[in-house]
Amino acid sequence: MMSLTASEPTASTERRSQELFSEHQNEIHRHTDRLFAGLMGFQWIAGILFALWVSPLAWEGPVSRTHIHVWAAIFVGGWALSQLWLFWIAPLLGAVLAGVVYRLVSGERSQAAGIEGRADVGHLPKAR
Amino acid sequence: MSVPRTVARALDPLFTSRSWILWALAVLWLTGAVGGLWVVWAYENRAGASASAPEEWPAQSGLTRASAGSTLILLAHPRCPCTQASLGELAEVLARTNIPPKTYVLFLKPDGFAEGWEHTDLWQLASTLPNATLVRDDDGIEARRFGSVTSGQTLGDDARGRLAFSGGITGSRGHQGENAGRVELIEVLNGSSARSGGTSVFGCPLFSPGSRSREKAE
Repeated sequence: MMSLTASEPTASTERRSQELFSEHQNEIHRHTDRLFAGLMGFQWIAGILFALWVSPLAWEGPVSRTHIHVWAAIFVGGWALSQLWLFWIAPLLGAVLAGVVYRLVSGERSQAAGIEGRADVGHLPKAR
Repeated sequence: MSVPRTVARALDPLFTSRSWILWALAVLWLTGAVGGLWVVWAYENRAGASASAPEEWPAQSGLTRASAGSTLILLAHPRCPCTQASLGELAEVLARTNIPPKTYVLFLKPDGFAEGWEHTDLWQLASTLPNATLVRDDDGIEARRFGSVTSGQTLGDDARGRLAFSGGITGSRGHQGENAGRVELIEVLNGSSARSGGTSVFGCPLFSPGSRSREKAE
């Protein structure tokens, strides 16, 4: 009678599984980044169209000119959406601060090579 | 290891030559966003010129004040985006008064524009106000009689035709919500206050700078 026994994964299996995991993770990150880049572009266009629809012109008696909301939608990135800048900046600053604090607390030295190497995750050569 | 050296080492990767470009872009973006917001904020909170409204109901006016009770006038530019908020606030005021005042909404129609130019969404909105009479103000003749130069200017006269309120009824340009003008006007109309000190008006100018300077010269 045959029996199945659990064996320890070999080093190559473990490396390969790490590669597959990294590739998949990288793919998710790329997909998410593209999705949000598209969404931000869509929000920008939608903001401009909304400003043109709601308040296209400012008036002074018989004289009209392009409303400041339209300029703001074009250059600031959407009148209402621009209120969100804090929600973008705060997490970024928080992340930077967390990184600095982590290094201080853990005593880990800066490893430029290690950081550079991370950019290549997902492009690792396939295990033979 | 000393703390400053540790901090400097921790910050090292943040200031590599490549990251400097990103930092510069981030600073540029942040400056643009904050600067742009400041411009918009300043615009929204910049009050228009206040009225120099006559203390008594102008005799030459084509409008007739209420024989008994208060009379309310709101002067509007039919194409001013900010004035929608003023009309919304006026609806709020009318809903909160004990005795509805006689209400006029005057829509400016400058010379040289086609018939019906003033019939905009704002006109439609104003037509839904209870007991409000909409009047086309050709070339702002009535606005001048009432000394008003900014869209959204609201004037409240008491039962004897004396000016009891003169000001705006929004907190800033195009923004609805609780504000000093609305509160004071309701108090005046309900008789809990005899006269308001006046509030800032937020809206488009009713007259172009050129026409105002011509009037002053005359």
